[in-house]
Amino acid sequence: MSAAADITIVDYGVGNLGSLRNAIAKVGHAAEISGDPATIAAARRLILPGVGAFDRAVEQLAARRLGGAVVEAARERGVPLAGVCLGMQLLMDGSDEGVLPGLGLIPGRVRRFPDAIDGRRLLVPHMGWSTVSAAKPSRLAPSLTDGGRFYFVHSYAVEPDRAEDVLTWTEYGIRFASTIERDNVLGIQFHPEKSHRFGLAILREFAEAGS
Amino acid sequence: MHVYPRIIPVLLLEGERLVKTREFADARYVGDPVNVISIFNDLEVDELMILDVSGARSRTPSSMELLRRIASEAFIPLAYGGGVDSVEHAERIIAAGFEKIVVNTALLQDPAAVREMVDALGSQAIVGSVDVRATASGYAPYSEGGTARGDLDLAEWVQRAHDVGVGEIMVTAIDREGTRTGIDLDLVRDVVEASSVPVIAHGGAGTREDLVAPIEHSGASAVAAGSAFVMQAGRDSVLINYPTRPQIDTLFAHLFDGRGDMAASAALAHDLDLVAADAFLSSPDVCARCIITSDVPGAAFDEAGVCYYCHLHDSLDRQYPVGPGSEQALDRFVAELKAAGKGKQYDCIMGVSGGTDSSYLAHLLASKGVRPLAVHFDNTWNSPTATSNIFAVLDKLGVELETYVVDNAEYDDIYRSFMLAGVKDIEAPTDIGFMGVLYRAAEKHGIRHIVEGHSFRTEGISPMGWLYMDGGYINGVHREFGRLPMKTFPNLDFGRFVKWSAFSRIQRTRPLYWIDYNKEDAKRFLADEFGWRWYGGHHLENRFTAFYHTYFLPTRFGINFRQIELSALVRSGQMDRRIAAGQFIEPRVGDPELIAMVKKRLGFSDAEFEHVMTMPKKDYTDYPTYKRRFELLRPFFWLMWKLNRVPKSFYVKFCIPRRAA
Repeated sequence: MSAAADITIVDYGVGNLGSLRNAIAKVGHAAEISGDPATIAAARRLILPGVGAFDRAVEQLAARRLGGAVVEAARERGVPLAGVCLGMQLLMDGSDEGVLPGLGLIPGRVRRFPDAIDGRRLLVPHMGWSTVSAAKPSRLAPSLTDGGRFYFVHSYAVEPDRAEDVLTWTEYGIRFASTIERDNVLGIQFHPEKSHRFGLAILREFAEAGS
Repeated sequence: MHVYPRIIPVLLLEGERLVKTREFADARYVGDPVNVISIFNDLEVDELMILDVSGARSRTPSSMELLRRIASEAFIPLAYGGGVDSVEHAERIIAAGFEKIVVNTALLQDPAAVREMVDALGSQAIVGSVDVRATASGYAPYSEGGTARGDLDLAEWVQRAHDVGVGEIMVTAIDREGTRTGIDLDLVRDVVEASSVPVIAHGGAGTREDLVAPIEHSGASAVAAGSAFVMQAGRDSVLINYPTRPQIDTLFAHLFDGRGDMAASAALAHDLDLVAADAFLSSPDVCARCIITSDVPGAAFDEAGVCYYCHLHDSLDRQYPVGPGSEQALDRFVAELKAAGKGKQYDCIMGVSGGTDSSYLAHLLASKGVRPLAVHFDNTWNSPTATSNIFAVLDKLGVELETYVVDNAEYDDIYRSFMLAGVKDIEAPTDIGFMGVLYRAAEKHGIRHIVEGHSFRTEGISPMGWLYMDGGYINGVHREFGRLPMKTFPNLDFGRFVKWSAFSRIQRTRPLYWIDYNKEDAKRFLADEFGWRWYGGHHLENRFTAFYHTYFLPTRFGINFRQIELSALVRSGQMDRRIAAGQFIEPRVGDPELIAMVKKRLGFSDAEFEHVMTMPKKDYTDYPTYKRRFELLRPFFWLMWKLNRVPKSFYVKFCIPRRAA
């Protein structure tokens, strides 16, 4: 099956993988869900999903020997890799939410939203639909430009060390990096699989990236 | 700072059916869950909440399967509630493709279990829901579907929800639920002020303006509603609807900077192959005037190479000439309708589909002061465009709607029967059902006039042999192939048809015959006036109809109904003959999603579907129908036609024996 799959979704016991696979099938591509290190190391494209706590995810990736396989595929073989939601945060060096190190594929950290801005309460998590504005053109998902509208659920946001890694900005109390991209690695904070045609377009482009 | 306020339709699931309640009671059937949810998906709703009112149903494997099917159709955030009381149960629902679990009774009876759900799935996945009644001593939470007064007061409940760590709170005013009297803003404000997590306001929203107040005045982050999105105001008729993005931006423009997405889906202009069109038109097998080909039954070209249908068109054109006289004929009919409606609530019954013709007819009649009752037969396969169009047009015209929703499983069984029967007429149930619903509404309200949005100038005339339908045919095919009893299908059986057409003197009229009805002008007018949208092709407002026209008939029977419509437009001077030819010969591909949906709903495996698409062809004459009875009663129906009780087309089609082809 792995030869036929356009995208391999990394299964490390965290998150709702069926929705991602349904959405990729909807745009006419085959996705497989796998928790096997060898399959992941040999994949054509990878999606690293995730919801929940940062440290728990890092532990699960390590326990299943998947973290190394993801890094190897992305770094050694240059396979397109998309981290989605918590999966995006895992691409970084580390998070304020936990103590364990991330995969370190994109330099930077993950920070919590402030509880208040100028004395006004900020509801956290940031939950709902927000738009993005482009910081640079994307290689892996060219439709990520100004005006797309996406569904977000998160209490933490990434802060890349280098501004040039930011792909789009979004405002919620503060301005944060809603997507990041560096070479073959893409980070997406929102849920493309739950973001109408805007999200489906990104998944389609990613499924065809580098082919 | 920018997150859009979320507007969330709430759907109530009772077993495999969607229902709508009022003050938590009086469940009414709304439709097929998978189709309704796929409509909401296409309408790009912010989020969808599905609450199982039968309680704890999702524990059975079959209902988990339903939840998986729902999730596979919806690329939008989904929440589920209904008796979820353990972390294992919650995890199964999340794994089925839902983002959030709504907990209500569990929060009161077993907060520790909810705490476990929060720990396992994250607070963002758990919505604490509270049902509240206004009592003499203030707002009081109720549990178990609003029946039991809880031990906590409202402030204690909010504290409890925070203690267990839910990510959102939904507050529902039981006394307002389903009433469409507006959301209880004081209640919402009380909860918002006590809460540090987002609050969803629910219960009572009726108009679209009602969606704004809880956000603007009470600080809610989201507003949820059931009736507002599944019912039309006025008569409480089922009508799936949701505001468009520009409409939402307008509603909230004064609160936010109104930035909306401008992603208007531009229609792809494409070039027709006019060289191929010319080659097609030069063939002697094509009518010299329209694009009917000699293989169309009854085409019967004359010496000049002009088809029978062109002559039929001319004779109808002479019978209903357009000009100053026709305006008077229409006005006379309008006066007749008004006279007949005196002392009654409505002047006539009018079928609506969301398509161009019925939408324009609604405008035409309303502009002349007629008070129609719009009637819609919802066969549970509507497209989102159809329901949005019905909503937009009737809402602005102030025309009331009565919807008849057939039971989805029963209807799919009828469709399945027709496909297994091997015949062409798989859409006969919809036409008959629509007719049955119109007659029933006429009888119920004591109205003698049914108006139909048909125009021979734009729709043309169906060739004999391409489509046959009557109530006996439905019964006959269903008896042979059906698996479920026919209970809710509004069939037009013989006795009733004769009673309604002959004895109740219910008269069917097509007012568009009297006007110079131009399809493109009508579409433009409807779009400008009502925000009505074109759905990409005649008859394509319904998903099964679209399957029937774009895939089933062309693939299995080599029949393309567009030829009829395009020919009509050519005859009435509304389309260039070369363009029509170009459109007709353009290859069309069946939409794979549509085909997958038909397979899924009718329960055909790939192999079974392949079989019904390729099995030996059958004809309506292979099954019991009323045709023979109609033929025997030919003199009677001739009289009915002369008395204007049945259309001429009925007499010709049903009462005259079919010539051997």
